[in-house]
Amino acid sequence: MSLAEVMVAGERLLLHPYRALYWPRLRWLVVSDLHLGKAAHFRKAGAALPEGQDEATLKRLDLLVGHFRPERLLFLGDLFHSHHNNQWEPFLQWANAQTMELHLVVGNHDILPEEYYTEAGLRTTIGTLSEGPFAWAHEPVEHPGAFSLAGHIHPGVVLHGASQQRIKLPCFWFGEKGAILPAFGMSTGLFRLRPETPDRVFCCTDRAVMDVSNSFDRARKWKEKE
Amino acid sequence: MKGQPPDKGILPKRSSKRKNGKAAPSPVDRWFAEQGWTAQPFQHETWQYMSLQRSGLLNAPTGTGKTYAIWGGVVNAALLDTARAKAPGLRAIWITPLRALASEIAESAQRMCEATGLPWTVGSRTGDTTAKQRAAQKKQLPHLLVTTPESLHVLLSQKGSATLFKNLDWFVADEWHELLGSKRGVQVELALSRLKALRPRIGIWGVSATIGNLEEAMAVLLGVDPDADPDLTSEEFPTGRYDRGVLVRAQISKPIEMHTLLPERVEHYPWAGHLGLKLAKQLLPVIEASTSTLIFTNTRAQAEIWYHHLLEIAPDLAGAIALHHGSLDRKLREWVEHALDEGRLKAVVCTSSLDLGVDFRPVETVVQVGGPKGVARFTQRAGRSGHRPDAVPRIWFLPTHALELVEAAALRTAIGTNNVEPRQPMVRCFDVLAQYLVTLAVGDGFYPNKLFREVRSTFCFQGINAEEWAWMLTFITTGGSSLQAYDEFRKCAMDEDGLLRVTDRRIALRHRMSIGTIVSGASLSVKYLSGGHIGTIEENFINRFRAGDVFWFAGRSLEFVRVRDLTAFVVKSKATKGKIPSWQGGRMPLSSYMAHILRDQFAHASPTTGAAPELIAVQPLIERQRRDSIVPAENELLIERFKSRAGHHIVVYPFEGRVVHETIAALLAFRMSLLKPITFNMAMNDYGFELLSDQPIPIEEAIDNDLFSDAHLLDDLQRSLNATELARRRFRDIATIGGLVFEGFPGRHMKERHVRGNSALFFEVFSEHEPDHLLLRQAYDEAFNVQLDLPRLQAVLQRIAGQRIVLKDPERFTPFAFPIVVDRLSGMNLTSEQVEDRIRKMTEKLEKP
Repeated sequence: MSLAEVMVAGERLLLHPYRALYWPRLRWLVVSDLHLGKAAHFRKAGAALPEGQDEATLKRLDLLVGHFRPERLLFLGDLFHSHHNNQWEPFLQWANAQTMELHLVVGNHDILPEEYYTEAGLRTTIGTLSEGPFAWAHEPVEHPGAFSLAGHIHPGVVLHGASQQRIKLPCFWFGEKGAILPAFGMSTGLFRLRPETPDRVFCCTDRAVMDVSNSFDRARKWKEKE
Repeated sequence: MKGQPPDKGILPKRSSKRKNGKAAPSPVDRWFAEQGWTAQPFQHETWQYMSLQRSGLLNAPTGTGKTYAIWGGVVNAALLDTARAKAPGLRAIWITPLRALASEIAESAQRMCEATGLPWTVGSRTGDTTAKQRAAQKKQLPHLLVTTPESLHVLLSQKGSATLFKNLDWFVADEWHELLGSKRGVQVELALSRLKALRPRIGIWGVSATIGNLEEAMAVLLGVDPDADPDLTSEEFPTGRYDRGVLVRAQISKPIEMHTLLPERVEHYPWAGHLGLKLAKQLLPVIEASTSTLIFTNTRAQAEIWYHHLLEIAPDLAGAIALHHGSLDRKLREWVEHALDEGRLKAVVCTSSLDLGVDFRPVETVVQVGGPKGVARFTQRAGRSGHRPDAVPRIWFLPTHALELVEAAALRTAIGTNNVEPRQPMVRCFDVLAQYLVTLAVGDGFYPNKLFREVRSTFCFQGINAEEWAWMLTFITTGGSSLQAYDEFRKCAMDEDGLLRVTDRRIALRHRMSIGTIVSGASLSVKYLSGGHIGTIEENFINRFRAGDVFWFAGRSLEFVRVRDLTAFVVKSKATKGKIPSWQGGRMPLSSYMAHILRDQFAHASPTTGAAPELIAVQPLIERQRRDSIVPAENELLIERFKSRAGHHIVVYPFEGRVVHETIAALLAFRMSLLKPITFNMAMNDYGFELLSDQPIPIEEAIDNDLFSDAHLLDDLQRSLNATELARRRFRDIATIGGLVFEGFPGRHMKERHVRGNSALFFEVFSEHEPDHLLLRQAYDEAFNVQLDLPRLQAVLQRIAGQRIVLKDPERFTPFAFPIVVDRLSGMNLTSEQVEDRIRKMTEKLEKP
């Protein structure tokens, strides 16, 4: 595993290939867009999907928790996909077995009644959670006076190489006023970003987080010419 | 087809039927005589076989009276059977692949019944039939029913369906060649196996255009004897196992008049491209000279562009030309067909949407834009013209790039002979079987053991074993091992009597709604804001739009407004430029036979031997190729190597068609990627394929290592990424047909990406937890046998093994290479490098000045 390190707003953040962010000073582990229960959600809507995805998602979370031993695990929205279904219970079990603090910044898909979260021991914040120089919210919006950290859009980038090669990968995106985390959940799709100056972009492979900001140099140089 | 044909087609001697001098003419004979018509020999022959209760296949082109040939037999038999003539109940089913044809076929049957005094009702039932008509049919079906495979299966899903068919005497499958190679053909086979069990003496007739395997086509339709011992090791056509039928051939072959639109100066005609618009001006006199002309293009987008372009260069054609393709609203299409029939249109730009259908007498000329990819398709299209007495089919070939002139020369030699491609029947389509089993369970239910025998009597499932059958039953009752936990997949249950049925009304409703084997990519309907449906368009295309964007559709300039409830709303636009929708599909594979005659033309493409006008015209290009590289002879395989700013290119020319090239390209790329970590980008056309890399390609080393060997073929293909991806794509349709994925209720369709996402998820889960899943296996089988055409690939590799490999290093792109390099579609990548290394290279490269 090869992690990347980034300094923003005077704080050091670690980016993990599993598409998670770690804030060492306060020992926060942050993940976004798990979309648990999505398969079951679609099954109820008539699309009969098998499961197994949620289990894998939670397993990766266990590995991260074991690695960082965080004090707080922050879900940056879209933890559970819409209405209650039978996939909530495995999550509830998992949550109740945890010792660290669990915190959810509510996303557009988090529409369960509050008592569900209470039962799972999840603290919830609607809107923005402020901590240190950061404003933590589900949807990427500007927060004057703070550096915003968000999820929601499932960011990805396409890298181009010689001889018409291209790769599409999930990524962390860091702009001047905020950053966006990749989706932690499986099979959630990617929204392609087109980074501009002076954005920093870190893409995730299975084994590494890599700084690919200078891949977008070409666009940058072209802009400068104008 | 090797071996003994099922029947020699010798009729009993006339004298044996004649007892007192002369046989009385049949009622249909008399009617023909009254009309002053002379029955054709094949019509007589068909009537006679049908009077003997025989089954068979009639090989006759459209517009030759094949409908009367079959209906005549049905009517004659009915009139002889006076005891039952007046009784109500369904007596004959006529299957047509095209619902637009149903009414015409019903009309001609009606005419014949009335004229011969047979008191029968005739009706049709297709997806277009109104609810009211369907309700009336539910009370009482007509004597003759014209319907589609899908609608027939819907009938089988009704309660009490067995009683509907208790008087059935005849089953006719029209345009059988069209159904044969598709899963709709399998639907016909399955329905027939049921009908044969209910009515063992039913007469079965197919009607087919000329294809390369007529006898096999008949065997597929008539089915097999499930009790006969299958001798699958035999190379011979296993006659004993198949029901015997008669093959009636209409010996009508009108010669085809073929012309080619030759570019005035071939040196200046594009080397690449697929539109051919440069020749549009030259086409105008051709259109002018005929009452009506059909202009066939290979894709819908091409049709839109051509329509638009013709109006631009000849504004006086406005109102006299029209557009016809499968995405247009049915009413628009019907209007076009009607206007064409009445001779009100000078030309119609169309796609395969007009390959079949009623004959338009005013059509005197057909134009084929671009290579038709197969001789059968070319002659079929030519046959859409020349339906007036004494007229002959006339077709103009319009090449879209210079090398297509060689294709024209190949077609010219081919239509002179009677060689056409065979249509391969689909086998072991477990998705269709799963759907069919639930269809029966929704209806009256079925006893598994009894049905097993029926299913084994179809050509498609003759090889299904008890284990597979048991798996199918588990699949529809519990969902199979990996889905057992979910109620949604428990569709059928067995009652105490041993009958398998669906009891849940919601499941029944949902199933009836999804009967069919044509899985449409999710499409949106296109409507004006002010109302008025224009057609349908693929979701992927419209998703790229923002309000205000302009696109061309149905020959009109439209401005996109918004999407709501799966409808794209538009207003008319005055803009003259706009995007053209690209629809999926459209790229047709080059048939093996076509590939063969094409290679032949190239091998002999020298002015001394090439007498065809197209070959003479293309000489400057051939000369250039010869100067810069070589024109490969029959026993040579040409490989060209270039270096350009894009990287290192290798171009290989097997001349086997795009589909085969796609596979060989992946195979070669994979084998070379074993030699060193390297990433390839691949591109191909019908003549060859290109591998492009950012580093030198180890082609010489690869050739020394048996690059084209067919050893470990399956293994290498599976590992060349390609296979899993192809199987995954095939699986989407299979999951939908097999009932795993529900496309949604009418008007409430699931979004395309959801359907795709869901089937992808099933694919993953089955791959991991139930690798023996029959639907998963089917996806791989289809990927290998249908899509990759493994048998053909093996034959190609063996052919290459006997060839001498010629490696050339031309200084510039050759005429052969140019269309491949230019038409490159990015995206197909194969790599043996670590993704991290690739990222590193991509980011480092750009830091250099």
